[in-house]
Amino acid sequence: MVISASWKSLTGGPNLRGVSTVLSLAAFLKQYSHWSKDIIFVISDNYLDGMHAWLSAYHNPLDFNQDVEPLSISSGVIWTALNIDYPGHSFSHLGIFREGLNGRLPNQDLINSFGVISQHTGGVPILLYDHYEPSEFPGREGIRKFYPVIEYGYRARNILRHFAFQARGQASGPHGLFHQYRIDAITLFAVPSNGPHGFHALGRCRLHASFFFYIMATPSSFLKIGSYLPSAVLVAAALMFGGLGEWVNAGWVEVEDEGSPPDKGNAVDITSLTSKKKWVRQRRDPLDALVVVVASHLIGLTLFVIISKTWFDGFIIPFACGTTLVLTSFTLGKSSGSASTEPTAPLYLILKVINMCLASTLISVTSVLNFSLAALLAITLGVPLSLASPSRSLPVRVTKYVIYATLAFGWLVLDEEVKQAVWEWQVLGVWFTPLVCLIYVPFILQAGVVSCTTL
Amino acid sequence: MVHAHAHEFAFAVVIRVLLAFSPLESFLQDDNQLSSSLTSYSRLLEGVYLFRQHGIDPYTGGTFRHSPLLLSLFSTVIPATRIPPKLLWTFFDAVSAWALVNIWRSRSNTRKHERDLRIAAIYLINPYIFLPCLALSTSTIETTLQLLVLLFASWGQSSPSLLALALLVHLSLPAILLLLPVLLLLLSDPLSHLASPRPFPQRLGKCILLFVEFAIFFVALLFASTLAAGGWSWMRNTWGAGILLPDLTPNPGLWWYFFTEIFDHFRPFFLAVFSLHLSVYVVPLCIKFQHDPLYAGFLLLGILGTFKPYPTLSDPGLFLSLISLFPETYRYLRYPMVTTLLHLHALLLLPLFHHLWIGTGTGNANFFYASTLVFGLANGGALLDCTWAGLRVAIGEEKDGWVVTQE
Repeated sequence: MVISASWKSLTGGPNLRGVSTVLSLAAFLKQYSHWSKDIIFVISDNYLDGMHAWLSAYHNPLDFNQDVEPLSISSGVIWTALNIDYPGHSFSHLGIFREGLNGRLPNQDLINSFGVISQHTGGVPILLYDHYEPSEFPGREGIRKFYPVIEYGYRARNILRHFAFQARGQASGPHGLFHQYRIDAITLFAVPSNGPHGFHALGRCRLHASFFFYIMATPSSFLKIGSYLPSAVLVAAALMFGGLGEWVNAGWVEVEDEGSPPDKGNAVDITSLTSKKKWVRQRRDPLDALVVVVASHLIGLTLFVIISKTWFDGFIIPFACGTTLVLTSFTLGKSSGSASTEPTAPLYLILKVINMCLASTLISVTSVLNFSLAALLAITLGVPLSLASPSRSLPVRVTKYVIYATLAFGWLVLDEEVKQAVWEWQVLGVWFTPLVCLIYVPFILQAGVVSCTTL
Repeated sequence: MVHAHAHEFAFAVVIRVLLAFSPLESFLQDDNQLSSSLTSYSRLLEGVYLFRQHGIDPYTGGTFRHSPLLLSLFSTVIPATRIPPKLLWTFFDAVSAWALVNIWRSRSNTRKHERDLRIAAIYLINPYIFLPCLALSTSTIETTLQLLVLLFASWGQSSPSLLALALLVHLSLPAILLLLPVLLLLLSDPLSHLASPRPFPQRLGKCILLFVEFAIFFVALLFASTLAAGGWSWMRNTWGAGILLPDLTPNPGLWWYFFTEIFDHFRPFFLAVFSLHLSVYVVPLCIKFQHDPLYAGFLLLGILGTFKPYPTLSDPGLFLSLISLFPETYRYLRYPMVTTLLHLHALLLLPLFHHLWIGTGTGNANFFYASTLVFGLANGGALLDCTWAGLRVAIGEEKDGWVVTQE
């Protein structure tokens, strides 16, 4: 196993006592020959990149955007890793951070065993992240001593923090870099405080050492897959049924019924009395809509390439406007150009069908890989895609299109966030940036094209 | 293909050659979805190595399950180095596309047709077809042979067709199911008679002669194989594998998981049931579609792709590509959108769950099995819909106030 400490702490300051704990533990264990081969001590530069460099040098992955010197001595397969983050001089609790890159999680057994060991042998209470458990402070008044509300708030905070890490694909600490090599790892964060625990207690917490799909609400309880997965899958199923419904709608058109045969026998035929209209089948040709889909994904690809370059500042707003205009005019030209004798389903309907069905497929497939991301996609795609519809009046169409363009490109305003996300993609291989550019933006653009079509 | 759309076709082939030389191959070669234990190129190389370098009979072990015909071909004529197999496999796919276009021409009774290019393109860019080809799975060779059998049968050339079928059966035993529709196709014509069902026009007695010819080819190849392998042990390892299922390496089919879970004393019974199940479709389909044996053969390929013991993605891929031969049935398909979406889900879920199980270790075999069930559902859906549409053509356009129902 690996015991590590990064030079920088989660808090941003130096991880002073974390490093010294690792050093003293190493000095102690060196006296025992039977542990010398099994435990690797790593003290890494910075916060994440140092550990990432060490791990890639250890496992020789194929491509890598960092200069890494090869390791002269390496050992066998690593099973478990423990990262120690101890910035203060004393601590009151040990907080567990577990989220890895791209939403990977360590085996839940590791967290459970650590909780038991810490509480029973070390006597140190454990937390999720650095969130204090409300039950520990019975005197503190929340919403007028109404305990369930406070408890609910506490659990919701834990789940939301988990959600934020996992959906972005961010690692919540250096331990998160281990998971891609099938190593179960967590960070122990010694929550800074004036006491009561110090070095001695951390030294007494020893870890010996399946579940991968869980959301922890408190240190001792978790939601199992069956209770959270359906939420995202239901949204995906709704999108799918919406898409299939539109597909059926696209197959029929109401036309004036010329030369309807006179009624024979049945004198009271209500439909013939009320209207002279009837429903006939129409052709559904997915090819034009597919061209729009491919075009919008190509725009997403271009966007991705551009923001990955160092010179991208400032180019983005004109790019966004230009591409959307091109796509729109292209679509409008396409839809007006169709002059066929056979009744054909309008382009926007077919486009909406493809858009919704693809989004649904994507959400349901992602939900088993990274639930939080799937839930985020379900929220951000579900509503805009379902509400996309053409309209007659020009101002409404323009407004709708502006809204969709803002949804698609608005995030580019957050310059620092974008740079951070691109750095994470290029150095650590977090998928979030390519996913947003290649999946989210094109889907929203397609919905925008649907909305700016005239009826 | 020389006259019409030659340059587009050449363009598609060039792209495929470029793809074949991309570094993708190293990721794909040992993928369980693209090559099963009966069609894996790595295992073929292993057998060739044992056979040539050390003179060991590769059939004494449990890894090599290719036909002795392939073994002798790759240990003599074709050097098993890097470049030639890639070109050869792309060539097989080009031949398949050419065969498919020519089957379409003889079915539509035209010399060239505007749909030619589209049919070839659908075949060449079908991911179920080109991924196994990039992985150098020998299922690509089987696909080519399957199409050649149908092509020669459509042209009415009995000897080449039966020889190709005999070769095919040597490579993959379940293909024997195609024998009856191929014989019927040789005796009748490949034109579409779906709209006007009629009793089979020829006397079935003529089948006997063709069958005897097939048997002669088959037995000749049997002896050639035995000669090449130096004994009869190859039979148990190649054909026997399809019946006894000794190798439970995961694949996108429906057999492997069932037989990893089953108690050993039920194994013989269920093996018999699964094999019998595969063969019960032949006669009913050939009777029902006696007016159009090509369609019967097409549906049987769909059944093989769904239910055969060691399938790869190219088996269902062939069935899906063949749909382009029957445009007259399109308007009677009931749920093409649902089938397409099922296939889309399966195409994403198969590699994902395989990765979760084998790669990251966060999932287990049940995950991959679930995705093969989705895939089976997608294939079954396509098969049922095509069967319905093929029968429904005969009833014709629905008139106002009338409804066609099934009882």
